This record gives sequence, C-alpha cells and structure tokens, in this order.
Amino acid sequence: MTKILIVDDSITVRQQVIAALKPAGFELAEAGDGEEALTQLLSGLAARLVICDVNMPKLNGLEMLERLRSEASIAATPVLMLTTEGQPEYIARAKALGAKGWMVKPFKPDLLVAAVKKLTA
Amino acid sequence: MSDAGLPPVQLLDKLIAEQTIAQFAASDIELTPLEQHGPQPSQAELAGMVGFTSESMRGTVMIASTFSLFARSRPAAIRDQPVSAYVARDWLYLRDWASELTNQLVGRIKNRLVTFGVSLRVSTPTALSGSALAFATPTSKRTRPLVFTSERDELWVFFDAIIEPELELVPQGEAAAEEGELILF
Repeated sequence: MTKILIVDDSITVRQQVIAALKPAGFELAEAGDGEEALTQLLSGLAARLVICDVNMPKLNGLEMLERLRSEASIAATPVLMLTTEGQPEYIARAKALGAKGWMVKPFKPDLLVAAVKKLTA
Repeated sequence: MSDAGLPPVQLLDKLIAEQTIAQFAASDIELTPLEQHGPQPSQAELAGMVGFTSESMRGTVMIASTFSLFARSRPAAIRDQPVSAYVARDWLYLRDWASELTNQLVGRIKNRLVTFGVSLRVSTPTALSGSALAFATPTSKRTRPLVFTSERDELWVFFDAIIEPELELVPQGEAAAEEGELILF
C-alpha cells in the first residue's frame, strides 16, 4: 500500500485529508509540524509522498522542504504543498526547492486524490 | 462605484465580508450580513485568531461564534462525526477547527491583498473557548466588527488593525493562486 505523510498542525485538516485518501487505497501517516515530519522520515518512514502545510509552528512547510532537500537519505521524497497561501513568491520558492505541486485550501477532495495518484504513479 | 474608488478601510470591509461569506459557503453555510446588532456577541463560545503584519498594517483577525456554527462549518467529509458541547475533548477539537477556519479566512484576505501590493506575514492560528465571550472595542481606526447570521447563530468577524495613513489599495500586483487551485510543477 502506498504510504503518504500528511503534515499539518490542524487535526481537522489531517482528518479531512485522511477521509479523502484512505478510501482511494492510500495508507496515511501524520505529523503536526515540519520538525515531527523530518523526524519520522529520518527514522525510516518510507513515504511515497509528503503533503505539507506552510504555516505551522516549530518548522514551517518551506523550511521543512529546505531541510528535507539537504538530507541525502530523504532528499528525493516528493512533496505536495497544501496551504492557505497563494502568494506567487511562496509558490516560486517551493518550486525552486523541488516541490512537485501547490494546492490552496480549502481543497476539493477529488482533486487532491487525482493529484496524489498522479504524483505517486 | 467600483472598488478602486473606495477608501482603504471601506475596501477592506468589503473584501473581508465577501471572503467570510465565501469561506463559509465552502462549508455549505449560507451567511447573511446583520446590520443591526448589539455591542457584543450574544452567544460567542469559540473564537479563532490570527495575527498579521506588513509594511502598511498590522493587527489581528478574530472570528467568534457558537459551538454549533463551528461544528456545522467543518469540512463535509468529517462533518457527520458527532460532537457535543458536553464533552471536553470536543471543545478542544472545535478549537482546532476554529483556528484552521480563521487561518483559511486570513489566507483568502491575504491572497486578495497581494493584488494590491500588500504582503501580509501571518502568525500560526490560535483559539479560545468559554461562555458568553466578550471583546473590548478595538483601539485602532478599524473598529466596526462585521456580523453575520446563519440559522440561529451569529458570527462576529473582527479585523482589528493599525493601518498606516499612507496605505493605498490600488491594483498593481500579480494575482495569487485561488482557493481550491492545484498547480503541478
């Protein structure tokens, strides 16, 4: 089963993502901030995709993406940003850091499922 | 009168009202603006807050309403999970949603302000809960809360900001990505 790591400080958003992806056959792991996500990935969590918020405590999503790219063992992990932010400079920074996509909340569950299927195919 | 002719505070009021209605519509909640209301929310039990700062304004966005309205406004996929005002963990759960809902509203406002060349930096959201929450009148120029109703619930939206006198909201910037939009690189 394909494992997805969802990183968001909101339990409600994590539940919403799980409700969208679980019926589509994905296995979900959760982290409440970027630091927790990196710890899980560096501890061996084999995520095929990370879905990551931007505005989070401790380590925000863009900082997490930057740190992830600097860790050789997890640097190739694909990341989809899922956030309320729509500012062009944020999107450009995520792209420059190697993110695979950007989705603005509130999201349509069907569109998220389609994106995740495409990015994990 | 076009938006371009409105003074900044009026334009902000209009933008915040439109985006509040759109945010709740995304959760299948129809809000009606309430022009006549008391000085304080009559039944606020939960409030979500996000701080923001920029070159031209800084302050806090807060939304306050009932347990019932926050429960009804949850995303459709998880709205059927029962919650009760008599269960302590359900209050914590709805505080989480009140935080996120405020974060999403501020995201909408922030994304619209991008086109006026205003770039807000926002804090992580927080929430509080209680009984008959009351709020001091904001000390800034932006003093009038926006009030809406849905069924029997009131929603109060406070945009408590210190706005620099030189602020002009003139369309000039690149548009931000829209809510629900997916961009694959």
